[in-house]
Amino acid sequence: MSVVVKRYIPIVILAGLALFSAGDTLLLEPTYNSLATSGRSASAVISAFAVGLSVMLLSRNHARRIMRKRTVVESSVLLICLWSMLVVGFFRFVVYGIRPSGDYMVQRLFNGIVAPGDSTIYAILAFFIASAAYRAFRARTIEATILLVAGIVVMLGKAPIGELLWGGLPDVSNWILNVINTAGSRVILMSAILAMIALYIRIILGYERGWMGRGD
Amino acid sequence: MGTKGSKSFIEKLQELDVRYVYVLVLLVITVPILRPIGIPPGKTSPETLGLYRYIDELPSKSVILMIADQSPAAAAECQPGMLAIMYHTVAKGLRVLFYASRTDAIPYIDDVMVKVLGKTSDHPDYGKLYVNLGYIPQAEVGLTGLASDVFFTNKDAYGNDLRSMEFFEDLPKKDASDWKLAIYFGASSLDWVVRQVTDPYGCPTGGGVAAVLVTRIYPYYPHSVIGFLSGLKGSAEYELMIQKPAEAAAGMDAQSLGHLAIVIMIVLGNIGYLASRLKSQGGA
Repeated sequence: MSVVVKRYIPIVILAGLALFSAGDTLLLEPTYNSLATSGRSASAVISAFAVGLSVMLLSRNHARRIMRKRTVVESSVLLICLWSMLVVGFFRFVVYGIRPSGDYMVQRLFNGIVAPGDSTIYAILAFFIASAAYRAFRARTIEATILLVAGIVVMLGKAPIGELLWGGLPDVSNWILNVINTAGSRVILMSAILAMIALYIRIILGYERGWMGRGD
Repeated sequence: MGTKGSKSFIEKLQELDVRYVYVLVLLVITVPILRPIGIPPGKTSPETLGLYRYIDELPSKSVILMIADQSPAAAAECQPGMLAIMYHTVAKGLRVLFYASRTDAIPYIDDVMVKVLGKTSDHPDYGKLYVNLGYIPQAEVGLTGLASDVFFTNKDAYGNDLRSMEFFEDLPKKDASDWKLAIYFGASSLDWVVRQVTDPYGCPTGGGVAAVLVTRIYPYYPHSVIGFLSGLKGSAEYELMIQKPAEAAAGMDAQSLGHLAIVIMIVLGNIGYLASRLKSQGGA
């Protein structure tokens, strides 16, 4: 494949679309804005197809692993579950016209499997945080001590018991969040945005080509 | 003084088996849930108050966008707040437009509608006061599309045509400038709501967010984000303000004791650390 097709055409397409989207923010022209809205709809549709593509790729990779006789019992079970959901959901939609949103079966599966599983994984964090706080959160330096004191004040200030211990604790906690945290967060936020703009300019100009994948 | 054979209490404290920490955390969280001890809720935070007052002062039929972005992990903190705000909007006669920006948040919209209204699309006011757009992919791009055109999805989550709904009839511009508030529920980021709704259309943002996200909201508060519910405590405060104490208020004892236990462990750990450092300096 020539360098033009492989490198320059994708960059031109990307730069064109990026400038077109930027123009939508800057210009108030109904036809132009309507075209940009259609572009965003197309983007949503493409992302839906990307989900389908990822399912196909996942299944293909899994089939390859089975052919190479690798032990993949757990992932096989998960893949079968995924396909079962897809097939049953698609069948119910095509035959009965039941959409996944609000479907009793989907709700039951979600409430019975997904929600408890995800919540459990997240809840386990409480144990790790407590253990790490006990073993690793040490006042080794002045900076660490300031962080530690601020952390304790905010933690207690964000629970009713803080006010019970000392009435002024929520106010101190709010001051830390409102003043010190806001100042620090704004610096990080602005730096990140400037860096992001610089990155986008590099992508549009073709200096950054990681998004094209391997081969260049 | 501890010798090689016998360790001092401080040294033992430093080497405490992690399983004792786990048991302690388990106890301080589960016991108050099973047997509430009734710690007073304390005064309402200004962030919660800001959101409550803004919603309370909105004229009836004002349009509010509710963005469900909570995963099941974040739902424990966000869902009670979403429910409480929904109760408030129903009491005020406001119009609510729902949409999910992630697939696993879809059931939480139905959950709120069923718990507050008793029904979803078959409710008599569905299509007049409440519309559920379902899942819109690509979080920020999806919101940009919806903000620029309320008919971006054409149909709602149940397959009904949006253009035939009474909900949208009297909206002058059919974009985000018709909305009075966009409330984000979740734990990932609220910045994109401010970027795509507040800055270009002037519709303020609110939030019902997990506590981990709170520090990232303050740079926008109180100008772009007029108020937000900070984790479970914020949800509990809102429940108490609308006089419907529920899940969040019930979880306040567990949260209080959980936070206290972690603070005590930090203090104990540091006492042990300082004592051992003083000891080693004294011995040197």
